[in-house]
Amino acid sequence: MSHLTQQKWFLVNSGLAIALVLSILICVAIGAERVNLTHAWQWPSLDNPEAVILFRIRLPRVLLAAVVGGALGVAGAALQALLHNPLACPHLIGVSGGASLCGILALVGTSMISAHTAGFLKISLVSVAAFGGAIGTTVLIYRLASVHGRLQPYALLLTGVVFNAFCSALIMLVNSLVDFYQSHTILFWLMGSLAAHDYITVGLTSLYVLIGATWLIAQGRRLNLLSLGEESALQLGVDIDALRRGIFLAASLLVGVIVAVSGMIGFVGLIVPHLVRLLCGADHRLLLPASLFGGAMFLVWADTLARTVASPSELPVGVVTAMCGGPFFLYLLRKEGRKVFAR
Amino acid sequence: MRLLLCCQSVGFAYGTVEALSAVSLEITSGEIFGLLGPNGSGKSTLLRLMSGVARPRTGQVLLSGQNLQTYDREALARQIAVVPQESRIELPFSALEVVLMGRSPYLKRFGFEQAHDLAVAQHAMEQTGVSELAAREIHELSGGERQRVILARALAQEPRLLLLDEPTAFLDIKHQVEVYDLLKHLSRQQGLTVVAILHDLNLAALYCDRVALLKTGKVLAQGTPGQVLTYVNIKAAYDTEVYIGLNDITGKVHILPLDEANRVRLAQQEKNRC
Repeated sequence: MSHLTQQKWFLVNSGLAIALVLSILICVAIGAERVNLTHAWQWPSLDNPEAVILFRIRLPRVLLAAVVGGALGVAGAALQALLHNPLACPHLIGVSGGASLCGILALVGTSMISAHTAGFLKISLVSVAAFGGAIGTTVLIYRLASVHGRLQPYALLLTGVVFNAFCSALIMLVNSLVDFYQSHTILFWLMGSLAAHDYITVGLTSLYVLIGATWLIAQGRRLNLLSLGEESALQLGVDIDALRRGIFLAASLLVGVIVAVSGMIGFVGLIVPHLVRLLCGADHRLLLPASLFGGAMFLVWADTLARTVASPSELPVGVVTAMCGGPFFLYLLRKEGRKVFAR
Repeated sequence: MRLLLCCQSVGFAYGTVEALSAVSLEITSGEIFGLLGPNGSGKSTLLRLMSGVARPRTGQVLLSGQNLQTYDREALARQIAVVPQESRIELPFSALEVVLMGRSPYLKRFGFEQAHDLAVAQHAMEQTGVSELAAREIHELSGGERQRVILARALAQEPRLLLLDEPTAFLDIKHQVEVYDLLKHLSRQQGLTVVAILHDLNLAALYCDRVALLKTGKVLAQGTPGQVLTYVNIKAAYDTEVYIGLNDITGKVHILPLDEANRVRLAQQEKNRC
């Protein structure tokens, strides 16, 4: 079938949804600590260490991985359409840099005020600061990349790259000024981590991601038209200025909240839409929801790998996604890039 | 003949650079109308105003008597289709998917193409001779093939008015005449109205019912190709001397460029005559 049908849409999406639920169930059962599932299930109280591991530690973490991965997948697919560039990724538009910088400043700041700030308070403060940074950066980059009130894709790409480089430099500066322990925390945060979150964080993040992702998915048909070029999209009835603005804001806020809870997890938003495109075609009506499910599944498994492969110690999940994603992406670039760029 | 599109002394400027001033044209239903003129004469700008993508600074463009700017965008997309000069599509859509995008103005917000939409798209692809490319990725196609896919997309919009910006610039001579034969056929059989920018004056003479010759944002002459494509008009518009003859087979004028020596000789003769 060389075009998308309603049937194919339902088949692919329901297949992916089932696979995602199965992945979540399997990955909750896998871990560094052996847990007797029936035991934990029959006696789900705080006195039972197996139940605590399963329901208080693993389940929220796996769910958060699904939410974060899904958001990165859908944001990546939407940004690739917005920037007319199949190599765009969510961390390219500068928002991650701004969010990380603010998060790290908050991390260092709270530690300076009081070395004994409660762990929970510190984490939520850092998240709030990172999210604030994401919103601030979004507004700033939107302003910088607009000419006469119209968002320019190429200006956006350049502004994002430069702003991210600038933020990285500032983060390195902060890193070089703080003590060893803090520096270690910063590093871990920059490489991304899904550990140590409660259900409230997971729930709020999910709600937020649900709203952003739903809006983006609803723009699927218009995103198709956008890839025909500006004039053609206009002529086919799309208000491209409003659409670009909307995609940029939705994607930025998605990325912002994701960076705030989990740090910079790279490659998911880059390779997942590519894989989905290879398997299901380029139609954004399917690409966006399939990238949501695909991204969720990818990160659930990557995080499971991160917490088990070197147990009892743990790898940063960003390292795992980069190690899977980097070589795979280079392979894609060799294979596909020839087609796209050799013109 | 019914009036379809009407430009009433439209003007347009990019910033402070004036691109069009007081251009008035009337396009009647079912005709093939050619826009001619040298580079930078405002042809493409005029086409953008006619498609409603750009808003005229002065004057107005009327479609069936109603100002283009008051139309709903999707409603307009069911009336007017545009084939741009060149299309770069970066994402790996199949040719069929690109053509189906022409059905977009007919779909509901979250709708999928129905059997009817697919039939319209496939028919359009047959007409432009790209049926066998349906499953190929759009960026694997040659420039000429891609252009015919884009033309099929425009036809899938089932427009009353088709606007083309040098549609055959990248096509070889066989495909050039095939595209214009198809346009002629559609205009005669289905009453499709065509406005096309042409660089090739001979193709204009061959296929257009009427043409307008533009220079620096103004209409220099308009009428049948025979009336407009005269030595004097072409000299005035393009600032070059050409050979104009009559084609024995088609009975239409044909225009050939001249090399420098001959241009100088002709210019000299003219000066002597004055």
